[in-house]
Amino acid sequence: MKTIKAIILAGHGLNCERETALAFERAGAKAKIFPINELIEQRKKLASFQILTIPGGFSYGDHLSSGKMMANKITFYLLDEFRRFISSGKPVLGICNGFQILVKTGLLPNLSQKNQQEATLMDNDSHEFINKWVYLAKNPANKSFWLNGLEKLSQHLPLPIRHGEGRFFTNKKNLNEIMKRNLFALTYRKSNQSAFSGNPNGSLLDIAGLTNAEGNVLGLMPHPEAFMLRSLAPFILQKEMKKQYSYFPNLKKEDGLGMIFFRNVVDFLKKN
Amino acid sequence: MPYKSLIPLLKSKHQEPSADYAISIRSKFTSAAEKNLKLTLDKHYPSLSITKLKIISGYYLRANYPLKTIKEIAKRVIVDPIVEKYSINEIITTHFNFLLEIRFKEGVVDNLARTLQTGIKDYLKEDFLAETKINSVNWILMQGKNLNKRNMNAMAEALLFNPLIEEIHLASLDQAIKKITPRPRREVFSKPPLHDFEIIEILEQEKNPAHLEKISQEKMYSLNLKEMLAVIQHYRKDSTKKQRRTSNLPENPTDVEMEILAQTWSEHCKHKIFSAKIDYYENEKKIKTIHSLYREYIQKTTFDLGRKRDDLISVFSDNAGIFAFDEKFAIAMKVETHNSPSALEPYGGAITGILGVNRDILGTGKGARPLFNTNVFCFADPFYRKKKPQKLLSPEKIFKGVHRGIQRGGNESGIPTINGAIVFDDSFLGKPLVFCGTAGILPRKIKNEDTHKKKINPGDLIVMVGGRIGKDGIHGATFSSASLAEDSPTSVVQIGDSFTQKKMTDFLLAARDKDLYETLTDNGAGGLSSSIGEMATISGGAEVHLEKAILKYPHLKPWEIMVSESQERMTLAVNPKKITPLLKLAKLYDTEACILGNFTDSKLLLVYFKEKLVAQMDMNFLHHGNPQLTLIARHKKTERPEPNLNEVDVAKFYLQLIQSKNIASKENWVRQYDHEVKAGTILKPFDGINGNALMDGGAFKPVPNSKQGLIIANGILPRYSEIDAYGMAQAVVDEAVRNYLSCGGDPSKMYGLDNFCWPDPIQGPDTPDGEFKLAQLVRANMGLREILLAYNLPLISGKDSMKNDYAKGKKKISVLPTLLFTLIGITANAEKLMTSYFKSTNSIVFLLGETTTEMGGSEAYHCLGYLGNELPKVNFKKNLLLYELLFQAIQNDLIVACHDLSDGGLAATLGELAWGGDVGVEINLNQMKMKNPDQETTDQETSEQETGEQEKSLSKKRFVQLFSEGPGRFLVEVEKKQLKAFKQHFQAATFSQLGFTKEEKNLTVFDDKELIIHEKLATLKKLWQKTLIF
Repeated sequence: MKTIKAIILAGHGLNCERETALAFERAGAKAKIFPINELIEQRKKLASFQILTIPGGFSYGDHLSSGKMMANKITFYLLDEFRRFISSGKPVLGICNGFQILVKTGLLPNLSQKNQQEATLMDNDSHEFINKWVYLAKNPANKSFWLNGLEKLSQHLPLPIRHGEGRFFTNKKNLNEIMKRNLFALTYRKSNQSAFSGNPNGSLLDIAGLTNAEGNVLGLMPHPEAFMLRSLAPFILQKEMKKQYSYFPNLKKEDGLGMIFFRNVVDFLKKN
Repeated sequence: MPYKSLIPLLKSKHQEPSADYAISIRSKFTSAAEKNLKLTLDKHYPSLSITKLKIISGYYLRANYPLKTIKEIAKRVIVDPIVEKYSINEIITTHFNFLLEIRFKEGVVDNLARTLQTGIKDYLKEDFLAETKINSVNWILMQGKNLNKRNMNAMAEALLFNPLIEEIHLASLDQAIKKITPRPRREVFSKPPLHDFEIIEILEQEKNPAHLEKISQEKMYSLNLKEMLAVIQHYRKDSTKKQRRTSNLPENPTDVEMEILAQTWSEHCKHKIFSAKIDYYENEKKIKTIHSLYREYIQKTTFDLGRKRDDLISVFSDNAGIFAFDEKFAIAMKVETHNSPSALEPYGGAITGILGVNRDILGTGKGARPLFNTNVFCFADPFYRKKKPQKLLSPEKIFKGVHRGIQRGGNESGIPTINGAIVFDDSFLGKPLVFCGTAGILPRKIKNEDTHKKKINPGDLIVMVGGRIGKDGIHGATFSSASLAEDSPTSVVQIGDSFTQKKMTDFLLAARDKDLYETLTDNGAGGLSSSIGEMATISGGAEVHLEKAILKYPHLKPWEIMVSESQERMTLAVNPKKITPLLKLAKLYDTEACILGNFTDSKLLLVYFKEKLVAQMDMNFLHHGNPQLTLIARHKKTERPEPNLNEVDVAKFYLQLIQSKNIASKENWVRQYDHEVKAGTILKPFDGINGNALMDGGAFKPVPNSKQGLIIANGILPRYSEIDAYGMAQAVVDEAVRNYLSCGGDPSKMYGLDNFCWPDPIQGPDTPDGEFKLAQLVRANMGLREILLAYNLPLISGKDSMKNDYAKGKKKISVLPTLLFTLIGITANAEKLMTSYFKSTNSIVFLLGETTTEMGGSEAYHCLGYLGNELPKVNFKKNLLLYELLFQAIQNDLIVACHDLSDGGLAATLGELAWGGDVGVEINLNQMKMKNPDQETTDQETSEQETGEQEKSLSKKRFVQLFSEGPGRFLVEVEKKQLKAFKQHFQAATFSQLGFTKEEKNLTVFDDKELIIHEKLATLKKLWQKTLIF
């Protein structure tokens, strides 16, 4: 069996590294938590991993703006290593603060291939941090391996959001390009049929997550690792999910639907 | 012993002369913050008719870099190019006619500036020069009618800033571009102090008590006369004199010594009232003498219970209590209060409260990893519009500030807030109560050594890590031991920084797992004097060199360094062999560390400043020399009027009740706290079909591979104390236990934490009712001990805060005597939790427990404007039986929903279950079993004239049935298929089959054939949700 090694960045205010590492371990990868300063000291080590993840948190306290200072740190110290990692096709995941960081380094969506910041995640339109569960819909035209099978859930992937700055924003030109190339990966489910529907932060076109054109880099505001176990969902959702499990034979009984992302990437790497 | 300074002196590589700059950042579009502020202004200040506003953030810098570098910094480090623009030394003011500038006062912690400093360092790849000074600043541009300095200042003081820590500049605008003259702050203290210490001349003043008291007050020692005399006595001793002569110290104490004593002996640190000798009287008759409430009621209760169990690993001896989770792990928990700081600066008070209790956990045993937070607040009515005493912040500002502090403190640290409560009473105008709790986990052994023991060897180094020391937070401990007065000083205010603390936390947990230090404790109240003072008791002494401490700015006096409570610091004991790897690891986590000296076994605490001895304290005197207080407590009962319940229209009253602030939904506030980070929260504050159903407690799974979970709940009923604190304490514990059981908790695995927040109970000219308030404290302790023994519920930790009053001249506002009881327990099977919303139609609804008729202190009485006289009593025997049965019923899936009855009684609980699940319900009150048979209606024939009387007593009966808060009761939902098994299971307990859930989405209450309440669920839920949205 091939060993899949995942590196999870940590330190400087990131705070979801432990549960994110656990989710990769549950999916069969070997996860290593790496403080950012240690990675800067040992930058060559990055290439020895197959998956790179920037987890959620409040890097630099989100002072100034969310993810900004950590994006700077990566840009000033690690950009070449990150670019090489990405261009070799290896999977990269940014969750919440990690997504904000990927966008602010310009690594996502990277329409111009110049690693310039092309979009942003700004203050929720409520101007408040919010923690709630939302239903997400997959963009069926996005072929990223991270999202394999999610279309079967027909706009009913429940995940929690926990952010104050999750409002996706960009200019018209970039937005058109994102739509045209189908780089949006997940959207908040429209309609008001349930409390878990609707756009919680004012994101343009309800966008909750993006990939790059190659599909190996995924960034999203909701937290898949926070639904790695079935028991982590609100009770009301645990009850209504039975059918959805039948679509995913590789999910274990105690798995939450958030595990789909982690199992997708590990299975993809084992096959390729 | 010489110590190498660990912070290299920063040398300038640039030769530029230093210059001042102002960087301003504006969003290209209307930001959410601007939209929000505009709405608030339109609502509260329509007369200003603001048509437009813009919030501009920025920084003042003094740096020896050229303008070009400053521009690059703005462009590459600060601005988000998609939505922001910057300019240097100017702001565009076209279309605005007024400008406000708000920034921190001198010496106040500026976290934003500190983070930017780090960010610039990342960019320049060199230490941003020491001469560089950054201050954050906010400008608000407005366009409106009649804007002048007077009305804008009033508006800003109400909404935008706190004059204690911030200053404002106002200007009318007439040009399109405003040039800004950058005004960065100079260093706070530019000159070194003249002397290393000052001599406090008290030995000559023994016969002059007024003068001694004056010294104590002026220096903010908060030591009483008896304590000042004890100090004099100690310094008069021949042995002390001789020792001081040898060390070349004056006969009188130095200011450093007096400060160390004052901090160590403060009420905050020493709990003098809980340790006092108290003569307790009831109705002028002496009942007993108590030698220490703490020893006889708190500690003894746990020791009595502890004899029969082996799960209590460390209680009352460390920063937090520790109990066993399983063979491998232990749980530490602590609940702190941060009342005085939150009264002055709500945001700073609350964030330092939460970060402080996190550090308590981090500093327990060999260090525990924080798992989750709990927060309970007591506030005055946020809509309070009556005239409030001068200088007190408005309750709305306190509510919002505390909320923001808790939110950022928890969220930014990555610690979920999984349980809490908000209680409203206008007595909390005097001081808000802010309770911050944290649970943590630690391995029971590291490298085969017990982690709960604190071990220090003589020779181990004293290492301080984390934040730097400044003038902020000086005298916090002694200040919180005094009542709040108008002239409270700025220096006691601190503002926490979760970013600095998070880096330190990551570092310490990594160092713990590598076994790089012996033990640690946090720097909270009393600063280094407390942390080193306490740790030194383990080895038997310490030697401290204060000039080695890392400071925020130069030239602090030695005593200031010793007692400053600047945040985010921990003190470690480190074996000299491990110091090099420890410091290397600290650097990796961007955490500063400095070696301050070493622990000894000399029985002395020696403090040096630049090789000169400035304090020499006998350890025994320092920790055991303070004299015991002697106090008197007198209890007497007061008769109060009772409301006339015959005239209440219960249907209308119900709508009023569910809107009362204590019952109304707090969901929109709670959802602003991250409650799911760490992926362990298996019972969330809100659940249910729309995520609106309120849960009775929270649950967390701390160890991924274990089936076990933790359940957390609380009880708090301050209003009950006004009737009798004895009954209050018991009702509070029972409420916490009920909340815990409603979540599926196991009654045999409960651990408690007590937090007493009392008004000053020491009789004096300013406190003429001190003896009564002390009697309330005594009675609360008596009631507490009795119920804990009955429920087999040991206390593992606790805290008291005894001066919760506002006093100014004759005006005094004292908080209600308040006991928060936090309950944490272990459930063997984390899959078997229970929730409090109806699951489906056609189930049966049962009331478990017996309803009693006492209504005193209830929320329903309060809504009528009454307090009443009789508190509901807790029946230990009946409850214990019922609680065990309830636990088993949940384990065996006999019930599908459970919600305890508390504030608002049956009616409130029924409503929350129904609208939480969006499932209709119908009950009949004639099915309800009451304790007092006199209250039950009978079918006896009645004569014409009696009918009127009976109707009256009928409405009283219904009021009691619907709104009684009698303890020991739950409302549960049972599926029809389980009906028989359920009845059989509970046959030994009291239960009433009240009704059923139904298709129609409404809430219906009958009394026999008479319809009492019939309302749509949607209507009720809307009312319940709207009160606290502001």
